Amino acid sequence: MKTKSLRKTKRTQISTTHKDVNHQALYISTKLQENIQNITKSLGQSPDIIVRECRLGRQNQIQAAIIYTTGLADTKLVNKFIIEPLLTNHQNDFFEIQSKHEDSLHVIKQLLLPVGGIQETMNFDTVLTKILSGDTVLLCQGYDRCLLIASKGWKQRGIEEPTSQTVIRGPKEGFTENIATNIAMIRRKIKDSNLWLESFQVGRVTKTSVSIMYVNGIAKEKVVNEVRDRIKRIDIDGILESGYIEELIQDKTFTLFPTIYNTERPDVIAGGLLEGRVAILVDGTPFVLLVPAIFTQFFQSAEDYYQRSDISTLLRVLRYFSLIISMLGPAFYIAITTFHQDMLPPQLLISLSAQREGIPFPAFVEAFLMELTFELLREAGTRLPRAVGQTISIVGALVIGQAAIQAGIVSPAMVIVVSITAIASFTIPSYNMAIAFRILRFAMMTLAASFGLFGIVAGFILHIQNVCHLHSFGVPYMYPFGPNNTEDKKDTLYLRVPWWKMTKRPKTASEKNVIRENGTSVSKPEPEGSG
Amino acid sequence: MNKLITYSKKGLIGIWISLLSLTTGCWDYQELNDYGFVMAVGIDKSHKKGEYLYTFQLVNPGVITRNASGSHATPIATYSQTGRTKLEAIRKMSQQVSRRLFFSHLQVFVISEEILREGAALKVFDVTDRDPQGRINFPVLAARNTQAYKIISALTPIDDISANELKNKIETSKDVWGENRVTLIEEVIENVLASGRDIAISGVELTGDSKQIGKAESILQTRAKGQTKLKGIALFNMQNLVQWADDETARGIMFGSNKIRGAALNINCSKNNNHHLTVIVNYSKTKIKAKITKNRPTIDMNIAAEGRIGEAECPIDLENPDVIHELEQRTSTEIKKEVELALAMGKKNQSDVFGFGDAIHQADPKTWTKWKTNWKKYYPKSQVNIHARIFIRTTGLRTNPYMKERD
Repeated sequence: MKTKSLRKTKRTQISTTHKDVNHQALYISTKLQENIQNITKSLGQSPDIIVRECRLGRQNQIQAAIIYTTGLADTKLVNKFIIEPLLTNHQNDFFEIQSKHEDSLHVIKQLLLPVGGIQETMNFDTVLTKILSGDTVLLCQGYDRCLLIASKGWKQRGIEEPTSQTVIRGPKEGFTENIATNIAMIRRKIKDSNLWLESFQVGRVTKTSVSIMYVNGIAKEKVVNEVRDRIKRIDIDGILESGYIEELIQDKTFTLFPTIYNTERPDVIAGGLLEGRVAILVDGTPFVLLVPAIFTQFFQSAEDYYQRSDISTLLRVLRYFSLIISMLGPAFYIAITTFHQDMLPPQLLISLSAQREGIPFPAFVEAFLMELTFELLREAGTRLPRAVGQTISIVGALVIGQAAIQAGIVSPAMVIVVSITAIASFTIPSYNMAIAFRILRFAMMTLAASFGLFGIVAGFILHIQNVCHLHSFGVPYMYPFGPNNTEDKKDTLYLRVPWWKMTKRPKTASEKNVIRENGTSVSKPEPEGSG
Repeated sequence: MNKLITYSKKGLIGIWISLLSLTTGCWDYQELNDYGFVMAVGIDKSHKKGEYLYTFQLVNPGVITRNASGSHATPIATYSQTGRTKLEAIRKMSQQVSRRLFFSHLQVFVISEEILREGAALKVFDVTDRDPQGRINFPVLAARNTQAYKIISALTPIDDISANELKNKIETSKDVWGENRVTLIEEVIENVLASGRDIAISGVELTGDSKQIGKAESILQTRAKGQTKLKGIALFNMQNLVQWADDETARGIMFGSNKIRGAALNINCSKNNNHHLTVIVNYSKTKIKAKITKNRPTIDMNIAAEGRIGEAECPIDLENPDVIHELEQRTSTEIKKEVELALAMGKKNQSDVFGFGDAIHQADPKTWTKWKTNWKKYYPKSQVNIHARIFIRTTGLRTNPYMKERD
């Protein structure tokens, strides 16, 4: 672990001297003008930094300056609750009386400003950071300290339905780009004093706030400590999305399978927290990470827990099949039609053989072409502006569906196989897991074309070995199958027992506080006539 | 930096190893359209001594799946080739056929009566059993009074592939009429090798104009010319075809060897009239038990069947249980009669078609080891007690026949 983090640190070293060149000052000086000049100079005279100079006190004896960034600070708040109280209280004798004994900053902080978050600082760097994150700075002549007034308030996207993981039944709200909103959304779901939050600042240049959340007493301390350590070890100039964090803290870099779960859904995060997992929130992205993550988790949809257990179990079985189809569909087709023709029923064999009549490419090339076309279409569909999206679907339907067959380049059966595979791959609820299987599919196709079913079996064994080898924050990836645990199999790849049967939390993340519900929670009406 | 180098080295080695596996080529990679699917094989005697004429029926997949209106090709094509062994013929066939022959989907095997009478049945199965690609779970038929290649060349109007037609025909007939035995190739191999049971193979003959066989015109009319028809069961003594059993005798073979899945038996309604009544048999189970008494095999054959009245054209009262009971007895007697016919034919030809030898083997293995080699001497002397019992469970949707109602 240690060597790995060292490697990561090296990779992310960008000139650290950059900082020191720009600002000479480390602390605020007592001279107001010097301070203002230092700040504007440090920020490159940017015009969006507003410096509002004013005089306070009955005799206007105190020179002061209010500095904030337009767009980041809530201008209304600054005008109404910072500038207005300062200027309109001119005639009051606050400054007169108090200034003899106390300093003016203290008076302003305690008596004048009707704002929640105010703190004092002497550090020049903090001042800059605060200005750039939307807070307002109040500097006064003669003080080597200043007030930092919370005034963050910028335009942001409202809470919308998550686009990546949709459900039919269940909450329709998704995380936004604002970390405060996201934290609030989780807190609204878990109102327990044990829901703890820790914040970090990651990224030398971006200074992104990153928070971890967990339920104290349920989450394993070891995991929480490990997450904290790994986040603290990150040394990089910028974090723009939780993907950065994911890649920097995951256990193993070179594997197709994701070992950290990400979601846009607060209910999934809340569910994870209750199971003892740790959530990692990153400012600026609606995608929140959840660790430790095991293989089965990526095939579970939030809805599985909201529908009745029999329905959910059936849907999970369906997903389990589609997982196999999406990985092995074309591989099986290639293997059986080119190596094991005797496995096909006679009628099907004759029909397939007739379809291949006049196809210029071997089955493998045919399958590869079709899969490639499909991947192209999918990628184009994702990247294209919405307005032209329709064009792609029409072109795709014509190219794949009709023209290719009519031109005799591919056989209709291959189109069917590719389409079923494509549909199957969309049923995997987690996008990054679906991608893993998309990539695997090509490997399997190659193996099938070289060695038939033996190749598929060999490839399958290799990949099973690979996933069994993985860990996510100390938890075996294939748990509860890898190390077997019958109790935890109640909520896995294909099974979801009724809630009243899941009395214990999974051992993946929690170890001490494992009782989820007491046995008495099932409320059934008394049978009639029983007394 | 060193770490990175070792990583990329490891990766390179991995890539090289995986590339190596690709250089082995593609094993027995074969595209579907490189194969010619053989659906039926026919074997006849050749003019040359010691050689056989092998005929293969190949499918023309394009014609079958595509709308055949534009194409004038027949859905099947047959090729013949002589050879001392079957494999020789198969390989030599490449001079005639553009594709590799593929035998996994063989539907039916037709052997001419001539060969079977000579006792060469086993000879032709060796390659089928030995070939890893081949299967041995398809039926064998005997071409009766004709050559196998003709049977295989016939075009059929409803099924495109006549091999399928033959196979379906025999399976359906076995299930509804019960005079045709489906003898799989594995059964033939097994029973010819063992001495406790003789094989029996269904026969297939040509009907109509044999000159029309295989011509497209033969099926371009509602009454197709030059067709095939199942006829009788061939009895064998060891490897040799000895006699054909037809009609009731054939059904007797089926009843006796526990092969009936369905049959329709005609009986007289009562002793003194000629009206007919048909009993549909839909279940039949035959148990054969053997014991040795005074150096002579005694066989108990118990046939338990179930059925219903399928058709009644006589003035009897089917509401009366006694009438039903009488009908049951009459039907049982009919079954017994048919089995006795079959048994008599078997005994006459020393053909142990019901597998009495196997029954003795199970009952008294020691005696069997003594008798095994000359079982055919003991077999005709065997004392056979046949018990047949049928239960008529229902009279169908109607109870009394029209004739009765009218009275």
